[in-house]
Amino acid sequence: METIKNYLESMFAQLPNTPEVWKAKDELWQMMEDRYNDLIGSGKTENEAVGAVIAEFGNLEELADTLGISQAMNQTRQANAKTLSLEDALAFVREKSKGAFVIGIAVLLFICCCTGPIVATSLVDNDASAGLGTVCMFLMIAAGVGLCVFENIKMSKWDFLKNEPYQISAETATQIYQESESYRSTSALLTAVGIILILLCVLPVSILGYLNISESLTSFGAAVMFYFIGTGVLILVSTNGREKAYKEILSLNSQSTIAGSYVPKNAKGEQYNSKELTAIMSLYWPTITCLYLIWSFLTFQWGHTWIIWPVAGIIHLLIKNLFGQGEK
Amino acid sequence: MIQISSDVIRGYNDTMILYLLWDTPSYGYEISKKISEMTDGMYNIKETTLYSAFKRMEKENLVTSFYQSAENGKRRTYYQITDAGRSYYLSKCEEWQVTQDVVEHFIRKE
Repeated sequence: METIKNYLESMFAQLPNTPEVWKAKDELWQMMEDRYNDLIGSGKTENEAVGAVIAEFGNLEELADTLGISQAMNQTRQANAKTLSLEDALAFVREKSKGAFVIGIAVLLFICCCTGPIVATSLVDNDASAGLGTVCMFLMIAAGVGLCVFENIKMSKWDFLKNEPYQISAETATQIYQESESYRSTSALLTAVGIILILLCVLPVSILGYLNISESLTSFGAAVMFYFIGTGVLILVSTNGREKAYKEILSLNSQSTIAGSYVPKNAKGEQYNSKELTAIMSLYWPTITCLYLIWSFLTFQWGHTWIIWPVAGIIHLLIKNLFGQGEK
Repeated sequence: MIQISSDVIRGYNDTMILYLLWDTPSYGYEISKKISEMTDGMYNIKETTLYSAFKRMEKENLVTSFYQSAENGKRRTYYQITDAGRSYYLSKCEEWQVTQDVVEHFIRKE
């Protein structure tokens, strides 16, 4: 049955997304399903039934006039969009997720670079150890930058997807779509773990501070805080990277083809009434994060500064409801 | 077994479909199956052929379509013959008689 569905999908993949075409696809599917069930009922094997159904399908060109798509069918043949194979699509997702992990490591290094001086000075408080800590910091930054550059060069081989028209077959779209759906629960779990790590980052430093064993141990806790944040961000970045890869592949097809209907509706992110507002709002959460960190580090009132998150959440919801473009 | 070329029979697909719709409305696969059965498998109409015939006749108001749920809850498109469809069918029957008579003169009988 799945084979028949895929066959029909691929036949219709490049046709325009019009009511006539949906109707034709729907009704041809009814007939194929009926024939398949009838053949299975009369004792044919799955393979024989699928073969017979496909043999009796006929030729889509016969429908061209009926569907008013003669022009579209000719155009499709002339269109120079190349097809990205399933293997390439899967390879793209694989490499892109790996790349996101590498970028995540780089971000981890950036976030944690300040731990070098903190740990070094807390162990031995003299000029030499401060110097060593600073060297450590710059080494981490350098490693992070190196990783970013390396990853950028590595991923540039996929630039052709942006520069040339590419499309995917319905079969590829289905497979990628199913994979992205099955990744959804994993990604939700990982996102939760990442967020929890970031939220819990103050735990070690506050516990050690509370116990008040020694000053150096407390500043050691402060260093651990950065590793909590860094690991959380690493998880978020790499999860998000894989999801973005799926979306990128699925949005290769234009919305106007049937295969294009696989494009997730919210692929474009949040939309607001004006372009300016959409641009401003895309910076909303990063700005809030910066505000939170600045306020917290300046006052060290971690017990109070978290209030910024619920307040920011409510304001975001208000703006979204007042100026956002609702999904239709 | 000799397979009928679809070019020859194309002009009479409508006639066959209208014949099968004469008494009661029906749907795609049922019609396709009846055509195969009545011709002992000598003519199997392709699904795309059948669908384009339905849509053409619907446009010419020879049939109308409606949705109906089957026993198992499956929703199917049913087609029903119209009065115009009936008179078109009768004229096609006459045309076939004439065609048959004409071609018959040129068929060797040995």
